[in-house]
Amino acid sequence: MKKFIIKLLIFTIPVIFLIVMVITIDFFKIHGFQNYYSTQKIELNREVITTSTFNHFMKKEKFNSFIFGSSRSQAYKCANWSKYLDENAVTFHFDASNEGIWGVSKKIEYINEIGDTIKNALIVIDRATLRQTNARNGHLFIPMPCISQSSKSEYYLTFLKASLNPKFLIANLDYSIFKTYRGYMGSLIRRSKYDHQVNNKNCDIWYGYDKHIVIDSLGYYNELIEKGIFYKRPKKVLSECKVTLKENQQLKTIKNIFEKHKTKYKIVISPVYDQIPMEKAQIELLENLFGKENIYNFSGKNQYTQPIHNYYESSHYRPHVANDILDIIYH
Amino acid sequence: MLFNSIDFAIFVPIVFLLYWFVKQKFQNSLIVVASYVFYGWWDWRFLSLILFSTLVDYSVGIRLSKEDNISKKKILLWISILVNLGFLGFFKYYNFFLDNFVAAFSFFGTPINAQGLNIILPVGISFYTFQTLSYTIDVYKRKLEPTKDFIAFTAFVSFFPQLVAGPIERATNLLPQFYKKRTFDYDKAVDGLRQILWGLFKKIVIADNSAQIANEIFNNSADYSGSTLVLGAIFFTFQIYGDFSGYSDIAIGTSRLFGFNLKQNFAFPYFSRDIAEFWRRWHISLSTWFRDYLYIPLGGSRGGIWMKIRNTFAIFIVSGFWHGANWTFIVWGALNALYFLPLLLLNKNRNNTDTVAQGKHLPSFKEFYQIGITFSLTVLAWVFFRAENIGHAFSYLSTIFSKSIFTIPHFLGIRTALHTLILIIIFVIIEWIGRNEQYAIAKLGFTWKRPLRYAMYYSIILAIFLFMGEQQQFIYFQF
Repeated sequence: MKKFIIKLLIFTIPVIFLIVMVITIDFFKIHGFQNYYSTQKIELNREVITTSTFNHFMKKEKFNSFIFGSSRSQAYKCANWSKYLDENAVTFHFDASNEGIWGVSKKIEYINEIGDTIKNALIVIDRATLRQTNARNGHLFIPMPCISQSSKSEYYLTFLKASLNPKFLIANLDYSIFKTYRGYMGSLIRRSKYDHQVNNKNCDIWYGYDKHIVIDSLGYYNELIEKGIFYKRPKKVLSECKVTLKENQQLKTIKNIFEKHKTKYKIVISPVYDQIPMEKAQIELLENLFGKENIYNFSGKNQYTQPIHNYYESSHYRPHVANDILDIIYH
Repeated sequence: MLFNSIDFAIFVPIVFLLYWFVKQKFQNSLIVVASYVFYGWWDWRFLSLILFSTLVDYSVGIRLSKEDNISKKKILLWISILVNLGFLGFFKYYNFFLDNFVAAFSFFGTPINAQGLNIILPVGISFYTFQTLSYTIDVYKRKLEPTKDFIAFTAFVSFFPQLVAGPIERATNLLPQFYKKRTFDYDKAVDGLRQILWGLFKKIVIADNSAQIANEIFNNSADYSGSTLVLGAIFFTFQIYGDFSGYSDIAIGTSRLFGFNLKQNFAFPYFSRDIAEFWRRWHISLSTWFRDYLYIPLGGSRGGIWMKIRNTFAIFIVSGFWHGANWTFIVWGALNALYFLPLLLLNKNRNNTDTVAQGKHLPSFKEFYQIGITFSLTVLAWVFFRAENIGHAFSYLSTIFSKSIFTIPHFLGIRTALHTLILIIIFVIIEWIGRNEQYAIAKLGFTWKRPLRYAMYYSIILAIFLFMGEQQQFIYFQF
C-alpha cells in the first residue's frame, strides 16, 4: 500500500505541479474581481467578466438598467443609452459571448433573486440568440455558477482543462517569458494593433479596431475583403430558426420578471451582416409576449445591413449603427 | 457524479484511502456509504428507490430459501420481478406507452385525451434493477445461496463503480467477493489505474471528439450529402463505443482498486467477423443477462425454426427496448435480429468464437473483408440508435443511399473531423495490438523499462489534455 501511494505520488508529481501552477497563474482571471483588460493577450470569458464586475459593484453602484445580449450588443454603450432613460437610471452592460436567450433569462432571474431592481432593459437579440436555449460549455462561454445554478466543480474544471491544454499552455508560457509572438501561437495570443478600451464599472467595451479604422479605414476593410471575411449576401438559410418550447418558456420568464419590476424595456433584433430576416413566427411570438411597440426588427436587407463599413467584420456591427437604432427606438 | 469529473477525481482517492485504512469489517459499510453519496450527488431523492429495491430483494431472497412450496416460491419471485420491473416500467416507459395508446386510439378514429407525466428517469435504473433481479432469479433457481448479510447485499446492489452504467454484474460473481477478506494487491491496483487511464482516453479523446462531429451531422442531417451522413454515422459508431466501453473500463479499473474483479464488458467488438461474434463482444454483461434470463427460458435455439425466429426477435427487441422508450431502439433491436437470424438458422452463429487473426499481426484478406462487412452493418444499425425518431432515421438512410453518397463530404468542422479521424486510426491500431487482452493497453509496454513505460502513460495523459473534446455526459446514463 505504502509502495503504491509513493509510486503514484512520484508518477503524478509533474501533473500536480502543472495543476498548482496553472491555478496560481489564473490565466483566465476567474478568481475574484480583477482588472480584466489590462495588457490582455488571451481571450477571456466575457460572461465571467460581466458577472464578476456586476457582483463586485452592485451594492455600491445600485445598477437598475441593463443591456443584455451577445457580443453584438457591445455596439450599444451605457453612456449613449442613458440619454434616453430617467436621470436616476444606473446602467450596466450585462452581456456574454455567444449569449442565448437562456443566458439572458438566467441573468434576469439572478438580478431578481438577489433583490435588485430592473427599471430599464435593452435586450439585443438575433436568430442565434433565440436558438441558444441551453447552458453553453467551454471556457469562453460557461456561465458563473451563481447565474447557471450548476456545479462549481464543473465550472472550475472547465478552466483547469483549458489552462492545461498543452497548445495553450506552451504558447502562453512562451509569450509570458519572451514577450515575442511566434507563428505557432496562432489565435491563442491576441495580436491586435490597438488594445480595447473598457469601462471597468459598467462593462462597456470599445474595440481597438475603431482606432484602426479611424487611422486607416481603407487598409482595414481592404484587408478583410481580401481575406474573404465579407462574404456574398444574403446568406443561404441552412436551417430555419423555429420557435421551441424552451425558448417560449425562457421568454415568458423574462416577461414575468419584467412585469414584476415594472421594467421599461425594448427588444432589438440586430442588423446582422448575413441579411437573413428573422422568421415570422419568431416575430409574432415576441410581439405577442412583449407587445408590438417594444420589438424593433433590423434584420434582413436594409440600410443598416447593406454598407460593410457598418461592421467590424461579418459578425459585429459598429457603435454608430447602435446609436442610430437607439435614436429610432426611443423616438 | 461523472467519472470524468473533478468531483470523482477527488471522491475516489478519499474513499480509496479510507477503504484500505478502516478495519476490514467496516469495508462493506464504507462501500455502501460511498455508493449512496456517489448516487445522491446526482439526485438524493432516488436513493429511496435503490434502498427499496434492495430491501425487497433481500427479503425475497431469505424467504425463498425457507420456502419449499413451489407456488409460494413463484409468488415471491413475481413480487421481486414486479417491484423491479414496475419501477423501471413507470419511470422509463410510462409516457411511451401512454403516447402510443393515444396514437393508436386516434388512428382508429377514437381520439382520447391523456396527459403525460413529467417523469425524471433515475440514472442507472435499468442497470441496478437487472442486477438485483439476477440475484432473486438465481436464488429461486437454487444457483445461489441467499445472503443473510444485509450490508454485503446492499453493497452488491449499490457498488458505485458500476451502479449507474454497468457492467451488470451477476450476484454469483460479485456478491461472494463482498464476503471475502480483501487485502491490498499492488499489481491489481496498478492494473486498475492503467485500465482507468485507458477508459478516460476512450471517453475524453475518442468519444467526446467524435460526439461533436456526430452531433453536428445528425442534428443538421437535412443539410448534408449522403457521403457526409456516412461519416456522421461512423463517428457516432466510435462515439458510442468509446463512451460506453470507456465507462466500463473506468468502472472495472476502479473496482480493482478496491480489490474487486468485474467481468469484461467489451471485447473489441468492432473486430468481429460476423454479427453473432459482435454480440458476444458488445455489452457482454447485458447480452449474457438476456441470454440467461430471457432467451434460454424461452427455449433458446432449441425447437423448430419458428421458435428460433421468435426467440431471436424477442431477445433483440427487448434488448433494444431496454435502451430506451423510443421506437428507434426497437427497430435497432429488430434490425440486429435480422442480421443475426441467417447465421442462427444456418448454424453459423458460433463460427467465430476465437480472437481474430490470433498469433498474427494482420488479418487475412477474408477476415478483413468479414470485419468490414460486419462493421458496415453495425454502422447502419447505429443510425436508428442515434436518430431522433424513425422518420429521421429513414430520411438519414435514404440520403445515404442516394447519388449524393458519391460527393466529397463537407460539413461544419471538417478540419476538426480530420484530427479526430487520425486519433481514431491510432486508437484502432492500439486496440488491434491489444485485442487478446482484457483491455487494449493491459500488457502494452510490460517488458519495457520503467522510463519508457512511464513515457507511454504520460503520452496518454498528454493526449487526454491535448485532444480533450467538449465534455459530454455518458450516453448510457440515459438508459
